[in-house]
Amino acid sequence: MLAWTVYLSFLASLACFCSPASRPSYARWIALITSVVATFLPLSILIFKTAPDSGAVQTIVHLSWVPSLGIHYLLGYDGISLIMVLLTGIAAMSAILFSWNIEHRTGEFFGFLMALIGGVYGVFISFDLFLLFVFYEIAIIPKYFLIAIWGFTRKSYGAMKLVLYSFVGSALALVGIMATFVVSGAESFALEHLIAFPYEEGFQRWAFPVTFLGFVILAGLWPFHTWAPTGHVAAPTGTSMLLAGVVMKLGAYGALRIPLTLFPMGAAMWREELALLAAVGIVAGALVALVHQDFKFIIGYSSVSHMSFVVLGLLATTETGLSGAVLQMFSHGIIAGLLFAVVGRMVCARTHTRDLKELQWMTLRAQLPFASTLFLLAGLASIGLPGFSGFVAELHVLAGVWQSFAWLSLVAGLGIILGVAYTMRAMLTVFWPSALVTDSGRAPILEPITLQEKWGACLLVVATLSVGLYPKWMLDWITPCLQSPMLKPLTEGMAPM
Amino acid sequence: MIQEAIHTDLFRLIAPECMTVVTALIILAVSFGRKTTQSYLGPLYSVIGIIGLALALFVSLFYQSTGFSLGSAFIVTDATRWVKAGLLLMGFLIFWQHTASPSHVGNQGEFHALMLFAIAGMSLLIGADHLLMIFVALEITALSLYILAAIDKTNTLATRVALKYFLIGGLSAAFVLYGFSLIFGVAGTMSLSGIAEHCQTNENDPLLMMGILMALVGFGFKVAAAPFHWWVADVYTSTLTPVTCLIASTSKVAGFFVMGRFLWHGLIGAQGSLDGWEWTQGWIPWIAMLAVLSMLVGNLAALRQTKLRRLIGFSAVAHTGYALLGLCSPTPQASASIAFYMLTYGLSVIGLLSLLELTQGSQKDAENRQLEGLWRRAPWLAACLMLLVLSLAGIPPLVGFIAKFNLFIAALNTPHQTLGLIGLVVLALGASAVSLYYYLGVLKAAFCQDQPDEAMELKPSTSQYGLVFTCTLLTLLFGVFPGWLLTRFLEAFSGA
Repeated sequence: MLAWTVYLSFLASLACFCSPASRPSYARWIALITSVVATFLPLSILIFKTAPDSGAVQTIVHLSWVPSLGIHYLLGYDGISLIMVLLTGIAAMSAILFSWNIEHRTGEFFGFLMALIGGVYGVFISFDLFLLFVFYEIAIIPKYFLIAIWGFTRKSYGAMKLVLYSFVGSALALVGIMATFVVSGAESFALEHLIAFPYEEGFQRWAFPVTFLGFVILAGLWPFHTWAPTGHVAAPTGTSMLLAGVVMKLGAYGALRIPLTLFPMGAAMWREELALLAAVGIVAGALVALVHQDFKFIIGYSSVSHMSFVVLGLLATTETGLSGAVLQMFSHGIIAGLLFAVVGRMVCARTHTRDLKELQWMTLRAQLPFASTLFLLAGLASIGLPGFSGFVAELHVLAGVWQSFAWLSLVAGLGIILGVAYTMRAMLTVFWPSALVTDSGRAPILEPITLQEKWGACLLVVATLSVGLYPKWMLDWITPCLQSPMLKPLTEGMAPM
Repeated sequence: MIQEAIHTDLFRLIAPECMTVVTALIILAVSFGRKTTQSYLGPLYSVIGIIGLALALFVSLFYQSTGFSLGSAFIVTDATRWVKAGLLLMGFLIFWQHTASPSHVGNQGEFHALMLFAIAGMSLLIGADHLLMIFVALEITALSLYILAAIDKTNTLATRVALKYFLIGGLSAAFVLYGFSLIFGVAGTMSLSGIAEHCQTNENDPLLMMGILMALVGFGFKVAAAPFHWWVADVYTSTLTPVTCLIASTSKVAGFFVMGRFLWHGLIGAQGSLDGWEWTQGWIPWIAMLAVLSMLVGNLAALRQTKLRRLIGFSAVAHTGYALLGLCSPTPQASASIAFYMLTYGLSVIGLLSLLELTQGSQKDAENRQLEGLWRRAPWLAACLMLLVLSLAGIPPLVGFIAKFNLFIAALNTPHQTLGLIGLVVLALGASAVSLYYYLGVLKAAFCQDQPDEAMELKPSTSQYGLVFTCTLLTLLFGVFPGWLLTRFLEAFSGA
């Protein structure tokens, strides 16, 4: 049933491309209805089924696709993919609601958007490496057009940079995947088959870093993160919500699914160096966000910082760290979406500026009370206030990191403190400026918040709150997966250092 | 299995080539003494040509037995039948292209006949298993292509480029001939299996290596490998579209096939490996060098191109580089994947060139700008453009991706793996990441820019649409369902 998320999205993409240009609302509604249906599919499984204790992968479809290369059309899901699919659904719904105002080439916009979403769904439920890679690449190309056609400042540059980084990353990952296939006897690309093969230590030594780096380039690992802020800033709001919310998760998810499960020994050799990069990313992203004058760039760099938590959690390779990483993927997907929605759509699109100095004259709190409340909520969620999903997730990550490399958790903790600082700075400057600048006659009249925007925002707030207040319903699905034979070698092989 | 040199059997073996040649002769006979101004003649010749090619395709697919003839100078195996079928199919598409948007050629009869002669030459090339046969077939193809390149006598640029093509081509033919004579001198035989016997029993002779090197120069010219690529961009820009298609697709398929046969059938034992770089040690390092150069030169030069057909020309050099990588591996899987790669590449290129012909009309040197606003002027063509270009860039689920993937896997899956081949694959992946930049540049013009005011209106005919759609559809279809074809190719090449 979950496979229909992919099929429906691609069908909707085609339908949007073919929808008449004179009726833009057709495309909007097609996209919205599809994404609502696609969200209910994983949600119903999460609610009505209990997680299998074994954490085993439930197969949906299994067909032979290219027999001469051992490629299978193998779709399935476990707890982790289910949560990621749910995240994609929610992010897609709100991104579509926040793109409701797109008037220029509406059909094509939603066509590309749904193609991107379909590719993302596909990655999360593929259990054949070739298939996973195909979906991974399908998700790259629409991003270019979404940014290059509907984007803002330096859109061609941002789009090209983002796509080339993604493509270089995927080329690296492909080297690892192909080498794995050949080394394991060139029989099958099915993940289950590849995991069963005992790879030599010498092979793991180079295959792990190559594949891992290939994937985490898309997760924004420092110093390969520069595509993320430029791309997110140049993208139209709905796209930046998806980019920061879901597409960056593709990288982290791929890193968890492929290099970490296939090469536990390689992970043991390299994790300290890579974890150091992630920790640097946390602090560096936060520091840039602390001084940047561009509101959207601040959110872009905060994404880099928060995604580094995910990578750090993965590299902790303890059960707590991994479950924290998965939770953080979900949590950041929602919160980043919310932040980009407020900053991109509600504020910058209305005021036509992203400069903090300009924005403080705009009397935003008086004119857009909804937006300022929302940013307050999103900011609190982002800095990890208890009750929001960010708190549970980052707590898990920190605990996991503490078990593996204690000193790095201090650096990560510093990142959280810096996170409070830059969020407060942005929030206070833009929405609660000092008395000196509040009553200014310079502020233009801003359009009120639309109904679609309110709905989209509420959706995201509900999602982050429900995970924050009751994380158990997700952890119940995640934990068995981490104890499944697939991830067992990883978590067991690691003695605390 | 036919092994006797009885004439009837010989005819059954070379039936597709005979049919192509006979069709060409029929066209020449019909055109003999007629005024060239009559407008119905061009389509008539195209129809005759298409029927002839379809018959040849049918025969080569269903009615041909495998075997060898003429003292094993000409062979037919399952592999040659598949590649020949692909070649004839492309010939068919090229004739369709010419019918759909007729090129303004004065002498239609000769034009059609020469195209058929070129196709027959390539078809012979695929079956050649003897140095003389290879040379004769190479020359049949090349001479026809030289004339075809120059056939538009009113265009001075085209004539100049054709002269350049002819001179470089003639030089490379001389190299091939000299190389072949050296090989003959060392090995004492012209048949490839005889040479192979010699190579396996004797140490590598420097004279033999010299001969191979010279032959490779000629083959490198044929498949447009750097550094023998200087004619490519010019020829692509100035020749008529059907001729460009012939040079870009079918001629490269045949070139690669005969190169693979020459090296892996005739010179097995002298191949050496990528481990060391002593030049007498084998020919694999040279192929690797050609591959590296082609990938780098093709991709880097294409980055700077603003004219579409020049860009396709340089990207063709890059694609040659990827395919050459497969020649470094002896497995049948590698040969099958090269054949699959070149055939599917040819398909996409024919589609792309016909599409450009539609959007640019007679302007062969059109720039990217010509495509601006295509999404508004002709949304379906724009969609086809996107699929075809992305297929060349190697994006799934299009055939360009699976072909490249299959090729790289075959290269990696070579027994006694050396680090060199892995390095080549990594380089190729990096190069294809670079190539995305210029491919996206083309798509950017077509999708992201608004229509310029002076843009011409597009009124493609059904036939033109049909051709572009067919190519696009095949690109998509073979990309999503490559399984059947890949298995057939692998079986055919494993048996060969």
